[in-house]
Amino acid sequence: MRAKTTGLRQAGAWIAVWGALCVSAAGCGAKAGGTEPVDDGFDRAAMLTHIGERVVRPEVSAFAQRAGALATAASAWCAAAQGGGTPDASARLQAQQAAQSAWKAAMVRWQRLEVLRIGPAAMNDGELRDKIYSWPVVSACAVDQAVALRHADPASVDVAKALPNRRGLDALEALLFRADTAHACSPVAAPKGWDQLDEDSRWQARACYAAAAAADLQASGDTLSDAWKVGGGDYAAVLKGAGGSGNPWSSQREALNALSDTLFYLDAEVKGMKLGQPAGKVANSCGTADAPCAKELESPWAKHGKVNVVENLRAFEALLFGIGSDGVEGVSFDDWLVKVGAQALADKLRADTAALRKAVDAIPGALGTAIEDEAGRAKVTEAWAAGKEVSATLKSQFLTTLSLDLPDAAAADND
Amino acid sequence: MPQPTRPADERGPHTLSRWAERAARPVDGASLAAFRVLFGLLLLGSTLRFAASGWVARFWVDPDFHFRYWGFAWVPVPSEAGLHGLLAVQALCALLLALGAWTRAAALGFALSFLWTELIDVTTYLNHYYLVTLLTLLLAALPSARVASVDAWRARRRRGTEPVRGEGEVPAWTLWLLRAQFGLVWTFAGVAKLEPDWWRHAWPLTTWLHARSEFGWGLFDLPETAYAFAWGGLLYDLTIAAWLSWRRTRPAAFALVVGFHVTVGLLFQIGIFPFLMVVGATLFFDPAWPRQLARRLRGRAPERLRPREPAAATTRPHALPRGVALACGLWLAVQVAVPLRSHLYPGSVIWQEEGMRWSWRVMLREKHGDVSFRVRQGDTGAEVEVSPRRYLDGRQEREMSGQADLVWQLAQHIGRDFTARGWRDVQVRATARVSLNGRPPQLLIDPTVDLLRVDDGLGPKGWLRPAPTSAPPRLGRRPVTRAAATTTGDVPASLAIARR
Repeated sequence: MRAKTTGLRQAGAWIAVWGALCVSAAGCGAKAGGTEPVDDGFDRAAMLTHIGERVVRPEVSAFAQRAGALATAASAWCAAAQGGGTPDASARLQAQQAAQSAWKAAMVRWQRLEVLRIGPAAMNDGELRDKIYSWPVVSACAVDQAVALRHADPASVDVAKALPNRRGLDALEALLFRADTAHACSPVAAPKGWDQLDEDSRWQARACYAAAAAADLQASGDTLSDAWKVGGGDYAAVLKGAGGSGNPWSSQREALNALSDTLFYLDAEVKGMKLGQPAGKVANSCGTADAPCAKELESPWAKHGKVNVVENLRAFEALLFGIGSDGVEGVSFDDWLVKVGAQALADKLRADTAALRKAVDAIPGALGTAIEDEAGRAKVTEAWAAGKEVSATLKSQFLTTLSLDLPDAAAADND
Repeated sequence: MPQPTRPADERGPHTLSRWAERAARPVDGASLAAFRVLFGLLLLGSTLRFAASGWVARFWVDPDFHFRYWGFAWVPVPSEAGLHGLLAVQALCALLLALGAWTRAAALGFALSFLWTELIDVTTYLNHYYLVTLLTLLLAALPSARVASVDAWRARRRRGTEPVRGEGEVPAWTLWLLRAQFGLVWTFAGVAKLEPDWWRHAWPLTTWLHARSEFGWGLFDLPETAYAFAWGGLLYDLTIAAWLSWRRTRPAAFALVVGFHVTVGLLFQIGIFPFLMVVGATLFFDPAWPRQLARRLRGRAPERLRPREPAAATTRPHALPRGVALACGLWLAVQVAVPLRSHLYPGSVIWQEEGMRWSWRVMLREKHGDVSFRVRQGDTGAEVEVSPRRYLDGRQEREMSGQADLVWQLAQHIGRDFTARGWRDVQVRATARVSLNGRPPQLLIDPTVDLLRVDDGLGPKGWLRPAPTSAPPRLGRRPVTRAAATTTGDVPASLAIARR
């Protein structure tokens, strides 16, 4: 019996030694996971800091400014459409064109933020993002219905409480860029009273709804900007402090994984939805193959689809290579790859991304025009194929090398 | 010097008889009871954690498509309420198992309800879930409730104070069988680590440790650390069952089990696996260890755990029932054969995954892939690409990307979907570019093969492409060169690196 109890004692002693080692390792880990940089050859905190302060925050601020300019321009369009009781078509058109330019300027910045979707814009299942831009949930008919309702009774429609497809940049596009005043609904869903309105009233209804929608967009842009502003929400500081006590990111790894998630916008949205589906290379709502599908185009009225893709790529590169808004390159994923010895992979990503950008640039004219002829569609197909090359690398070797996960794939046990 | 000869009764058929007699010999049932209690509590905790994590919806309710096990596509997928009901059954059975109340029925109830949920979607497969299924099936057959159980208490109440011969004892083979089960897990996990990627290139530990750089005092980025873990894990898995079986090394071996699995559990998200193996390791101790521990902790053992008198010597040897011997033999033969089946398939198991499941190839490969399906209308030749995300969530896509049989299953589903949409003579091909252990992505499946025209099954899949022949990349911390440390422009030195 004595021998047996001695065995138990020995086991206890061994466990104590192991336990002490494990606990001390975990304790050091907990400390290192805080705001102090980890001495492991790659400074994750520096990367999070750079992306937050130099890449995302300037874009958020720039978008908020442009959303403000758009609100001013849309308000002027409304005033011109009302014309103090005597509408002037030429003044209205001029104001509309100014608002269109303001929309394009805002959209350029937003398309970058579409990719850089981390933090406040992504919270609550992207609630704030959807208020600003709900694509691909877009409905010109829903917008027209809201316009007619608001024109009949301004108190009946509060844009700030409207569904995402009745507000934001997508709704504003439908209001600003359609050349005529016909509604976009089927006869059974026709906006109430719309057909009875004269042309001036329709423009007035549309322009003043746009003014309200643009004011709402400005408010959303300010909310987003405040969330990132130093002295406001300072979300860049939150990213920088990932893993620290009280920080919503439980670890730097979690924050980095969320950043890598945003890179996959290139795969699903850019490659699949913006290029592949309209070109008929990817299954689409038209149900056809190898044939253009204009229904799938993004920003069809503004003919802004290609610019959107270009700006998406700009943001993708900014994130992958750490290119700040000032054009200076800082610490990001490519440097992380180099630090772990995967220089060749970093170089491949750089080369493939450059090839993708070149292929997109080679698409003639607007995307909607390009897909309608064989030569143009071939160019769109080339860009789609170049996107496949980048996303294949991202989804395979990139994730494996940095031990990251696909979006929406983490948080389960393994063995 | 002449060697002493072994007695005649220790050789030949007599040796077998002696082992059979030893297997049937009664031993203290306390360690089996302790295993039952700890295992039951572990299952209870695991079940509650599963429900609390929202995994019922995430794994089984939210996905529009489920990958099914070959031959088990008929298993119905319960409603969300039904699934929560199944988890409630599991929790109740786990609690009853721990308490030792209706023990065998509880173990069987857990095994069947757990098996049902596991059969819903292949992408939820985990090696330790399979082990849980096996262990609960074993506990449904073994007399694990003879000590410290409600069943034993009820039996005592029924018969009064009259002692019964053999009370609180179990045949030795019950412990042997469970030890063998755990021993096989460790051993096959060790054999699997003889894979060159593991021992020669320290993959996938290299990338996993790198991802855990916040631990390990900055050592986890050093290639040497990955090699130390790889070789240590290999030696551990191959030999730990032997060290636990040898009385002299058992205490240190058990401490090693605790240390190893706790460390692995801290580093990687592997659920109850570490605890399960630690609980399993207790089976290798003296069958009376809980009584010894209770005595040490409390000064004296409670009535139920008082040291037992050795079984009264009897001139008649204990007989192992033939049925028991056959059943145990059959169980173990299956447990050996199932992992070994991978050798019947040509090619690399970690690439092709034929024979991968149920073979204890634990945490052996890191695979990520980009899979897209090309659907062609045979009569017109028109073709579109279909993203798996149209049907799967991210977790399912990740799991599918490296497993050809799952790619095949989704291809069948896509084929049915497009046929239902009015497409004629549908063909589905897959471009599956997969990175195995950090290598550049390669095609896993022949992209020219129409997956609707080939069968999945137990035989080798002729439509798979061979495994990559290159070595995995060598990752790890490198010395920072002077050029790389150069700063640029107005970027603070702490943020900037060289412009390339």
